[in-house]
Amino acid sequence: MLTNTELKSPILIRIKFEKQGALRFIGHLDLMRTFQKTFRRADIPIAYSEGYNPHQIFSIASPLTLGIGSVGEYLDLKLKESMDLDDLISAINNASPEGIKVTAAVMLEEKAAAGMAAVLGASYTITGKINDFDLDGLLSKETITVTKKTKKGKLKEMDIKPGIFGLVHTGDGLVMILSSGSTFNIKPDVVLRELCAFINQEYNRFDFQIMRNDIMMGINPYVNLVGETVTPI
Amino acid sequence: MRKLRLNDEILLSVEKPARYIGHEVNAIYKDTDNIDIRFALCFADVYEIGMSHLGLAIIYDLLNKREDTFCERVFSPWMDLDEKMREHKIPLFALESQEPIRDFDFLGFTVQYEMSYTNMLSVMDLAGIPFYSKDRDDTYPIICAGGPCVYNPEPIADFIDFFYIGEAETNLPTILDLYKDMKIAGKTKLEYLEAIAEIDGIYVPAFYDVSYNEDGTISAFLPNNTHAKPRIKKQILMDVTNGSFPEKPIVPYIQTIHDRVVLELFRGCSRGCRFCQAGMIYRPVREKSAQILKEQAERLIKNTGHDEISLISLSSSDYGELKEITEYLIDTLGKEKQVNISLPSLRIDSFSLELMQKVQEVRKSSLTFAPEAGSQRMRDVINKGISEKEILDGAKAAFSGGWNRLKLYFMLGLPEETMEDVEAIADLSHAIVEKYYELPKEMRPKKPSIVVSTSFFVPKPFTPFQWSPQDTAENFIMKKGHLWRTIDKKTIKYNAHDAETSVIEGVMARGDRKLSATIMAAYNKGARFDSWSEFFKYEYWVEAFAETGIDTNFYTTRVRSEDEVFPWDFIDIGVSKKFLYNEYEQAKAEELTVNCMEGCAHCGATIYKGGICYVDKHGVEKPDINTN
Ligand code: SF4
Repeated sequence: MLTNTELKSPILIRIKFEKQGALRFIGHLDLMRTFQKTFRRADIPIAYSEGYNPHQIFSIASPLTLGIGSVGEYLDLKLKESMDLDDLISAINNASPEGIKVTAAVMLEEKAAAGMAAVLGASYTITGKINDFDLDGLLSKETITVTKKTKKGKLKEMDIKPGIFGLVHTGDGLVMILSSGSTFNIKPDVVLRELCAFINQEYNRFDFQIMRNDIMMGINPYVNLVGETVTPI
Repeated sequence: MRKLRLNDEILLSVEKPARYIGHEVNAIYKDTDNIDIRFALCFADVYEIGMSHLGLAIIYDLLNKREDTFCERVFSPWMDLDEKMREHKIPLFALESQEPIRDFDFLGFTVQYEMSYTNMLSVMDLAGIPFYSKDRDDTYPIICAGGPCVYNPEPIADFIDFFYIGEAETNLPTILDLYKDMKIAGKTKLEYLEAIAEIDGIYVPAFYDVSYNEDGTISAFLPNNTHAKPRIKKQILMDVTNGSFPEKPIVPYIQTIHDRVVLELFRGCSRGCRFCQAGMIYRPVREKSAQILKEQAERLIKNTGHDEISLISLSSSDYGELKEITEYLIDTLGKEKQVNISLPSLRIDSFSLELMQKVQEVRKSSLTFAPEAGSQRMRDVINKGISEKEILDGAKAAFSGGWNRLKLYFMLGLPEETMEDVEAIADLSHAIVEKYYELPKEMRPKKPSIVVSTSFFVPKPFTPFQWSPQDTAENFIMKKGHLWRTIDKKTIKYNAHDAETSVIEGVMARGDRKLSATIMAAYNKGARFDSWSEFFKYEYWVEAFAETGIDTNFYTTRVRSEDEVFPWDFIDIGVSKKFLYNEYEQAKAEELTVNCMEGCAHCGATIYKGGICYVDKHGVEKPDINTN
C-alpha cells in the first residue's frame, strides 16, 4: 500500500463501504448510478474515461445479491488529482444517502487494482432461525452436493464442501466464510438450505437475515480488500 | 435506519423494490409529532413516471418549505405489488414515513391524463378510503385534485372533495393556512370546504347542482351553497422568475423516464395551435429570467449530482435568450462538470440545429419534428404556423448537420380532415426522406432512420376544437390503414396509437358528472393502468358504458352547437369562449391567427395583468395593449 505522501498520477483508491437498510433493495446498476451522482455531489476529482461518452472511472467488487446487507463492500476509483483520504471519506459520506457509509480508504498501486478479480472469499453473518443447526454434522459429511442451474439452464451437480471455509456460531449469529469470486462462488442461501435439510427444518429464505461482513482476496490469512485481517470469530 | 412498510419477502418478490422504499437523496423527512398537516401527494401511476414530473417536484418542495406541513409522495403500486397488497391487506402508504395515507389530513392528486382516473380509484381503494365524497366522514383525509385534467373536473367530480384549478404556487398555501386554523378550532370538513370555496381557484363539486336538457346536454349548472362561487378563476403564478422552485429535487435510485434535472424557461405558449389545450389553459406566456435560470442550473447540478440538465417549455425556440443561456451552460456546467444540456421542444430550423450542434457536439441523438398535419391546408386549420418549405428546409439542415434519425409526429382525425390530407402525411414524410438523397453522397450521414408516429386527435376542453366532433374509431382505423398502405415502408417506420384508448380519452376529456359512475364501474370490473397497453382492456369500458347508460358518441362524435353549455364552462381560464369559438370558425375557414409574439389576438388573458400580453419576448413593453 502507498501512503498519502507518495502520490502518483493516476491515483487509484479503494474504499470500503456499508450498504444497509433500505439500500439493500438497490440493485448493482442502480448502486453504480448512485455512486456516480454521489461523487459529483461531493465534488470528488474523479477521472473520466476518454471518448464520445466520458464516464467516471470506478468499479465495484462482487455485486451483492438484492436484499442482503453488507458492512464490507469495496469500490476502486481513479482520481485525476490527489485528495486527502480522510477528506475523501467524509466528502463521500456527507453526500451519500442513508444506508451507504464509507468506513475505510486506501491508496492502491496500479497493479493492485486487479485485486477485484482476485476475490476469493466472503464472510457472512446470519441471524434468525439458526439455533438448531448442526454445523459439525453437516461438515462431517464427505461431500455436500447441491444441484445448480448453469448459465445455459442445464442442471449440474456440485460439491460445495471445499468452498465452505468456515462455519461457526458466534454471539452475533452464524458466521460463514464461503468461496466467492468468478471461479467458485457459493451464496449463503445455498448453505442455509443444506443446513435446514440436514435437520429436516423447512427452508424459507425469509427466516434468515443475511449480512455480508467482508470480502477477502486470500483466505489464509483472512485478509480483506483493504488489507485488514478478518477473523471468523 | 427508518422503517419500511413492506417486509423483505414482499419487496424481494416484486419488480424494482426500490419503487417503494423512499430514502432517496433530497427526500424530506420530518418529525411527525411536530407537524400540523400531513399531506399525501399522489401521482396515480408508477414511480418512474411520477418522479419524472416537474409539477410534483414543485408542489413537494412548496409544501415542505412550510414548517407546519409534511408532504410525502404516493404512487400507484405496480400490478405485482398491487395484488400482494390486496392479498395481505396492506394499506397504501406514503414513501417517506411509510405510514398509511388513510391517517393523513390530505390526499392530493396531480392529474395529468384522463387514462389515470381508474388508478386514482385504485389508490383510494388500497388506502382504505371510500371512493365517493359523500361516503367519507370527517375521519378520512380530504381528497383534492389539480393538474391539467381538472380543467374539466366533472368526470371525477363525485370522488373529489375539492379541485384546485391552476398553478399550486398561488393559493395552495392559503388553503393550508386555513386548514390549520380550522383544525385547531375544531371545525368540520363541511365548514372547511365552505371556507375554501370562497377562495379563487377552488371548486367544491358537491356545492353545485347540474340539471340536464332532454338531449343530455346541460341546462343549468348552479351553486347550491351560498359559499360557492358561480365561476372559478384559474390561478397562475405571474412572477415565475421569483416563484418557489425546487432547487434540491429528489434523486431516484432507479432509472426514471427522464434521468436529469429540469428548468422551465417559461410557462404557457404563444403559438396558439388550435388543438392544443396547454397552449390555451396556461395563457399568458410568462418567461423566467435567464439570470435566475443560470443560478438555478448550477444549484440543481450541485444538489443532485445529475449529469444532464434539460431546458423545458412548450416551445423552447420562442425563449428570447435561449442562445445565450445555452452557451452559458455549455461553457460552465458543460465544460467544467461534464454536464449534458438537452433542449427538447425546439422547432427544427437552422438556428436551433446550430444550438443543438453545440450542445451535443459529437453524439447525435434523434431529432423530433412535429408538423402535426401533412397538408398545408390542415396545418392552417390547426394554426400550426409552419410551412412545408420550413419543414423541408429543417430536414435538409438536419441531414447536412449529420443527424440521421428523425422522428415525425402527426395527428389523424383532425377537424375537416379528408383522405387527401391523410395521404399528405405520407407525401410530406417521403419529401423529407428525399431531402436526404438530395445531398451529395459525401455529405450524407449514414442511412437515415425515419419514424412516423400518428396519434388520434381528441378534442379537448378550452380549445377552439371543443365544439368539434371527434372522428369515429372506425374512421381512425380506416385512416391509419390507408396511411400504412401509402407510406413507403422501405425508408420509413410507421407507428400508430390505439384507437380504442382515444375513444375513452375522448369521452373523459369532454365528459360530465354522469361519468363518475362509469369510471367506478370500469374500476370494479378490473380497469387499472389504462394508459399502459399491456393492461388496457377495452371490454371493461364497453361493459361499464352499457351498465351506466352512457352513449360514447354523445361525448365524442356529436356535433355541438355554439351556445351549448359545456360541463367545464364554469371555469374561467381568462381566454374567452367567444375567442375560442371565433378561432373555431377561423379554423374552418383555414385562416391563420397571429401568435402572441407577433401581435395580440385579444383572447382575454390580459386579465392576468402580465406576461407576454404586456411585454414581448425581448422584454420590451407592447404599445397597443389598451386596445385589448
Ligand atoms: S391577450 Fe393577446 S398577447 Fe395575451 S395571451 Fe391573449 S392573444 Fe396572447
